[in-house]
Amino acid sequence: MRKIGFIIWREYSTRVKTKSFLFTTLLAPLLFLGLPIVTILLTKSGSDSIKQIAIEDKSGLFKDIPFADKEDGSLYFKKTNSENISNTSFKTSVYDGLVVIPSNFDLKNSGRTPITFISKKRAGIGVRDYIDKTINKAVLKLRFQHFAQNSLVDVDFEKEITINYERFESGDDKSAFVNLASVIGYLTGMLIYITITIYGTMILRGVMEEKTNRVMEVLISSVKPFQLMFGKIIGVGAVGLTQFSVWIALLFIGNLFLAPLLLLIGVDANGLSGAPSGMNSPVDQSEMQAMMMSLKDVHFGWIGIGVLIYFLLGFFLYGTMFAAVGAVGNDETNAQSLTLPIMLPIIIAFMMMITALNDPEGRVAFWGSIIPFTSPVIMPALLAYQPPFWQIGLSLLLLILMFILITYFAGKIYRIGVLMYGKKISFKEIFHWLIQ
Amino acid sequence: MNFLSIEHVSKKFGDYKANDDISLSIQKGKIFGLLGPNGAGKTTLIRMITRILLPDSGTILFDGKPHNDKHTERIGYMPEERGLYKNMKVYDHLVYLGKLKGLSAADAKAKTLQWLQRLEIETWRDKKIEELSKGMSQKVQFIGTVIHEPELLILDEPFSGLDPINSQIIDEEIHRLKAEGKTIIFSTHRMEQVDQICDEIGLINKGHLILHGDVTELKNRFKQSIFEVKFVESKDTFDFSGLEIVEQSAKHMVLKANEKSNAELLRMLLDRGLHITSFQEILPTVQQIFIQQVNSSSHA
Repeated sequence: MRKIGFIIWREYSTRVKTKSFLFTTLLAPLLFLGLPIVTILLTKSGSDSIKQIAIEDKSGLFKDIPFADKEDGSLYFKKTNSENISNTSFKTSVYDGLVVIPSNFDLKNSGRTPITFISKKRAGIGVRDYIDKTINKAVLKLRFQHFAQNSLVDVDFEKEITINYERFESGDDKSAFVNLASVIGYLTGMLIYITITIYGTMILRGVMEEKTNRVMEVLISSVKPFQLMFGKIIGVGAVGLTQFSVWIALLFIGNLFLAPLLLLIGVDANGLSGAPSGMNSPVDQSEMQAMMMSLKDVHFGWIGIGVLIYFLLGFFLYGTMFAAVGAVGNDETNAQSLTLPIMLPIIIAFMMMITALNDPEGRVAFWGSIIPFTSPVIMPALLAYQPPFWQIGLSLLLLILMFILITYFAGKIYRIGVLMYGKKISFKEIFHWLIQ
Repeated sequence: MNFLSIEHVSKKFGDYKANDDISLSIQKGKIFGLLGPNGAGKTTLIRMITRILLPDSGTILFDGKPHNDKHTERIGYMPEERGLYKNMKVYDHLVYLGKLKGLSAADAKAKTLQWLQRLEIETWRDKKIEELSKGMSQKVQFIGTVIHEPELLILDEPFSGLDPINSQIIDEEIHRLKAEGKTIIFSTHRMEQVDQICDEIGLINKGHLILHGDVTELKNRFKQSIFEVKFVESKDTFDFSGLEIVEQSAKHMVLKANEKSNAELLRMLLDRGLHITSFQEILPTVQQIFIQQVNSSSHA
């Protein structure tokens, strides 16, 4: 055990003392600030759990105003003629969501008489963005009509209307919360994806270096290959954690600026997509407050612990696989082709995460957070949405079981692979080692 | 006393028998030459001695006890395929290797300094391995092998890549370690080194041990009664019945004595009135034994 400590320390200290470590640790946070733009742009794509939306216009103002369906048909509106959709009729209806325009809807200032969107499932940021835009377009049209008829004077055409998002069963959906949760989810998922890739590759290179350098044989005549493998994985993992801690500390310092900054970027993204409303509009004070308020609703402590656990498990799961590939590879190109089977699930996990955040209670989100190879990326991203405990428990259990299984096989490949010099090793041979 | 006893050890990789029922013993304080052509199974045997691999069957006794992982701290191994971490400094690297071999941090540091001084390379201590020439890093590698004062030293081609001066230094160190009572296994293709250095040899071919024993004893066993005779220049021609003349000049002659004893041969020569200045039996070199044995075992 003492020796594994020496190995960990060597792996750690030789990496942390480099200039490139200092560089990436201090500069990466700047990069992260740019990510929310990408988040918001990406999540504008459709959602599969909210499709049919009923519009209940109690004010009667919107009788002749069309609500545009989404071009790809993934979301469409239908005006209901009935005066009132009761709770029971909505529940049994085919509709996934219901837009309720109050009878006293004020075209000038909707703040006191907000439009409500009730959905059976939580509306993701993409869906909400689309609904926001569509209703605002309709309101704009209506304002022009009334203005032309002189029934409306002194109006700010571009003033955005307020829409309250609610869930059918649980009431207030805290729209700002969803916004924030999605950003936090994206950031954490992205962080885990990036770190697994970066540090996994670091492990791979480290093992290959030992092998091509021929220092390996000296080492394994002193310590067991298993100690060497885990010493390296833990050492590199510690480098990652160090980097994490610095980043988190930097984020903590910048926390006060974070919320307004995220909001600003959000508004920018809206402008980028060419929405008719909201362009050049100053940040709405109340919206900002809502965002700040919902920061309190996010359980940063729990999310932090969850992210840490998933980072560690995910890192070990993929780290052992990267170590095994490093042990098998003889040169850069050889290793690259062997890395593909490992990189593929990470990349798939990352792509699934984008869909999952868009629709946090959809199938992709569920399965992605359960399957061991994708859960280290997807579950942390979903944590801000507070998935049920049994889902987290199942996901953790499967992840740990998979880790044990992978460690067994990867250890086997590593042990044999490190002794093979100057020979290309095929998948067929690896398979033989596994079943031996 | 046997420091290492290998008893009926076999190792298979798939269907390939890398080591097949090998038994040999190595005495304490001796230099043992492990010889064999490429792919004969030397590396596999060494890897089993260093516990990198475990035998499929058979036992290895280390200092009289069944071999176990704890013993690896008493073994120093310099593999043929050697290398060091390129981005580490000489001093840090040696301390690290020492600690992996069970030395305390303080011991590892002290020993590193001691060895750097002994080989007169203290000035390299803060150099990175990648800055060293091949010969220089070989020296560092050698220190890394012996830093924990192993009782059993396994050197695989220790002189490859060394210039004559460095070879000389390593050669001296090997003999000094031997004088301290260390047991050394020496694996090489360079037979002239075996002649000079080894006390005992084991010859492996195709996974089998085909020869094993004391170098002097083996040379005597495989001698072919060949003698070199030097004499004062003589213009006479000689004709020896029952003797085979391998080489002849005005001043010397190489004879194959066949069945005759040394004394008989010498008397015969003297009887011919030769003025002999030197009479010497030529023993086979290890290389000759090696080639002969490998060929005959390969054809068998």
